[in-house]
Amino acid sequence: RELKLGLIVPGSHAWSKAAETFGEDLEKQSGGEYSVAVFPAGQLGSEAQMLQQLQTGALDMAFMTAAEVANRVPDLGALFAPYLAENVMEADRLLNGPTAQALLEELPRKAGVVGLGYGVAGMRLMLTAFPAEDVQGINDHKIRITPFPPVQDFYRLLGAVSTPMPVTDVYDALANGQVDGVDADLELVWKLRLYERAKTVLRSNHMMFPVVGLISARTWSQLDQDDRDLIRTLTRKRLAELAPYYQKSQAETQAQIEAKNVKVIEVGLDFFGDKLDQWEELWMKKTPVLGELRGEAAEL
Amino acid sequence: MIQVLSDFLGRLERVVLRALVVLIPVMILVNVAARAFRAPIFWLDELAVLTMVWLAMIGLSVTLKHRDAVAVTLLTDAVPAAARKGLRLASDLVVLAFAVIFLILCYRWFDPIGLVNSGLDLEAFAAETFNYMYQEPTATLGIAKFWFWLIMPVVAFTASVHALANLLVTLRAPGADFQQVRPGAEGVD
Amino acid sequence: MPVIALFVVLLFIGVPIALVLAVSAMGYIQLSDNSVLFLSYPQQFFGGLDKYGLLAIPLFMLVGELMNEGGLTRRLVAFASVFLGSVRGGLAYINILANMMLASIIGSANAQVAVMARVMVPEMERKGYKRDFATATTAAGALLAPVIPPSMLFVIFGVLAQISIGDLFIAGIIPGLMMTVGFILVIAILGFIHEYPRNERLTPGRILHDLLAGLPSLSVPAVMIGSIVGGIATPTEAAAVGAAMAVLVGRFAHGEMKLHRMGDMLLRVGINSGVVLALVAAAAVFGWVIIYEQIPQQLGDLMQSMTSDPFVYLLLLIGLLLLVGMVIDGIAALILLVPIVLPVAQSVYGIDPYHLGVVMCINLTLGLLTPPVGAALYVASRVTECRPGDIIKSLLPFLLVTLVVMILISWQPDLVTAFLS
Ligand code: NA
Ligand code: NA
Repeated sequence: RELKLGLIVPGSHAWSKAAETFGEDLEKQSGGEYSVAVFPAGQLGSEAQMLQQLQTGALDMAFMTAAEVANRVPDLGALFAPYLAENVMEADRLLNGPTAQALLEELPRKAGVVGLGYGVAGMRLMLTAFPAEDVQGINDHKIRITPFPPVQDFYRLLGAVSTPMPVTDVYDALANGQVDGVDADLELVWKLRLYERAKTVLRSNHMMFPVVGLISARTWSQLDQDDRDLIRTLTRKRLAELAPYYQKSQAETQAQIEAKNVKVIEVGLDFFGDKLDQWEELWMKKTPVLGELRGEAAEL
Repeated sequence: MIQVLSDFLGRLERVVLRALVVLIPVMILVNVAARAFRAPIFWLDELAVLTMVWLAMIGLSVTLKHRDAVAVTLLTDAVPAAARKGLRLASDLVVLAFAVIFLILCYRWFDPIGLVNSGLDLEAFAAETFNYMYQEPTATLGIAKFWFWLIMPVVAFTASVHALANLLVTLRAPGADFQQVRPGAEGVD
Repeated sequence: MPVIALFVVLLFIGVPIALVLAVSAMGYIQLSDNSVLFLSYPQQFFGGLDKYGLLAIPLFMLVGELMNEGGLTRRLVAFASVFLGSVRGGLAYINILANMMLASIIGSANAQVAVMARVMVPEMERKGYKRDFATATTAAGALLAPVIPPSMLFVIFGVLAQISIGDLFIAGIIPGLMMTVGFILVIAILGFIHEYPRNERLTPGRILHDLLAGLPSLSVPAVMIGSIVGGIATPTEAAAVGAAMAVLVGRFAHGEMKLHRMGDMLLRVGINSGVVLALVAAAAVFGWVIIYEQIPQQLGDLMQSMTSDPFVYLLLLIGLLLLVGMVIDGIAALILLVPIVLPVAQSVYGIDPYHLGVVMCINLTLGLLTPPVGAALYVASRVTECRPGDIIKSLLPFLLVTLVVMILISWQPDLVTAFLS
């Protein structure tokens, strides 16, 4: 049986590579009973459309941003708490901890999909076309963001003017000044060559950016226990490899970007002053999951 | 009867269409101005795009009513009048079939009976049917997406009415009426 | 196979083309025994339209209509004619040059045709050109929209291939110039054969009058460019700014914009946008169904088995994209094909991704003008009320020039990569 697996990121992205190698593993270990056809680059539609196709069973699997899944399971927004994890390795450990894993259990009921496991992308940072020397410097600047509550709240509290737009428009928007900053990771800055249009990287590592391995609940119900275990194990194996991959690639990418005369400023928690407390206060009210995650993170 | 309903819906659609053509640039301009004054309305882009989808769907319905959509007329121009009537009938039937099937697909998608059976409880409905269409959010507008999706069944219905009315006109018309290329028609040859 | 038969039959019995695609997609779902796709069908249809970039189509159509209603276009053309003197076919050259300038604002051929067809064709007709030639020249000029930056297609290719969009724009310079020169040659030759009207020789007083009268109208492109360069608006938003400016100029500077004619004009914009957008949505659903069945992947494998030579591979690709471009419009086709074509082109044939990108984007732009599904062709046809078949006949020399340019740049990659570091 051929499983169809969709992604929004291009074929060359690490998430797509993880999907490909997962497919090879599955074909080998199932003795050819299963194979996987990967559809990268949003060929089957936006993430929202893919989610709907997972629900009908037209699509079997997807590696999807946690941001999109959080539209159905708002508690997942807590994963985007500023400075919940210091780096990608820590993010991975937290995502494999009891609280984050328990969030996956809500998926079948709330979204009609089964969550197999998490992976990561690079830590979020800001690329700015203005010298961002302190947090007040961000005030009133137009920053392109992924429109989704935890990120929106974060930039609102910073006083920034958050501007949602498709990732394909960001380069031009930076060029003509429609935005003067981007919430991104190093990979995005490098691969879309956004550094050509904005010369300061504020390496804040302020949020993690998880990917969730999903399988259609309809497909899931047709599998026997052995096959389910096999698919879950192999998906988790390849998603788990993303953290060490990004740990290594982030350092390399930063060096490449610095070689292009981009100023990389490493900033931490204290850069943001009391803005983080305000965010925390807001989100503690929104979901109890945040408290549990903070507790777990403290023990890492 | 069908003809009267079709004409009535057509008039209504044309009024809405004009309004949407004005509304879209106004929304965009407001957005540009608001951003210039650093008070951007972050949901306005999404609303403009969804309004454009409404414009497109209603525009489709109007063009089907007036047989105004682009079609290939190479063959229909070349054959004698009687055959032309036959082709017209076949084409009208296809349009009607599409509109009706589309309406049925929308019905299955919105599943109103299932929704009522689960006591209008959206979560229970989704759990029972694996249909999460009522839970789908918009990215920035803060309301459910299905309000905008409603245009699909609406247009499926109006297009069905228009297609049926057109089919009846074709059926009743004597073959001799199909001598000339229909007025306003354009085609690839 | 049965689906191809269904497609052809529906097409020839005169079913609207958007529905030909939509019904063929339904037929394919039914026959491929994957009827669960029906559950996503209406949502996928909606999703095909739910894209920010498509807003450009109604907005630019509106700009064109407003500039025409307010008498701006006539004055702009008179303004530009002053500079070309009494050259044979002068207006046709102006058309291409104006298109080239507009291409540096607009990233989509559909949007560009929408405004230029309204602006240029009535003027050319008034000066004695045949309407189908005028429309064809305008449509050909719009081919420059995606080649001269900004360009929707380049941006999407850049994102899919993860290469620099800025460099992709640089890579498009020489092919863009080649196309412009080619189009000008076509006009010169046709102008000689068909004895195109010369612009009349103008008196100094008339020249001064035309220049002054054109100034208010110039403010429309000026505010559009200004708002983009000044970071106030995106190119799409600039159309709305331009529309507002056109209303002001047409109403107050020229006093030609009559309120009682607005109703008809708005309806025209609505219906014409609806026709084109419905086609885009139906093509998206059709593309979605065939990608589910992995048809493009199979075609890619087939091509790879046919040759080991990069140039031959590119020629095969051009042929394939011309076919694909007939039924699927540019952006959808790019999303469908880049993930399949690019890895093979790079690893098997060693083709530079910038080279491939420019070839593919020009190729798919051509598809916007080829029947049976060519959004730009229908935009032009709707706006000028010229039959698509007549436009195609006059368009043929321009399409051939573009094809020659594509073959040349496929043969000599340096023409694309020369300016890249
Ligand atoms: Na352009
Ligand atoms: Na085409």
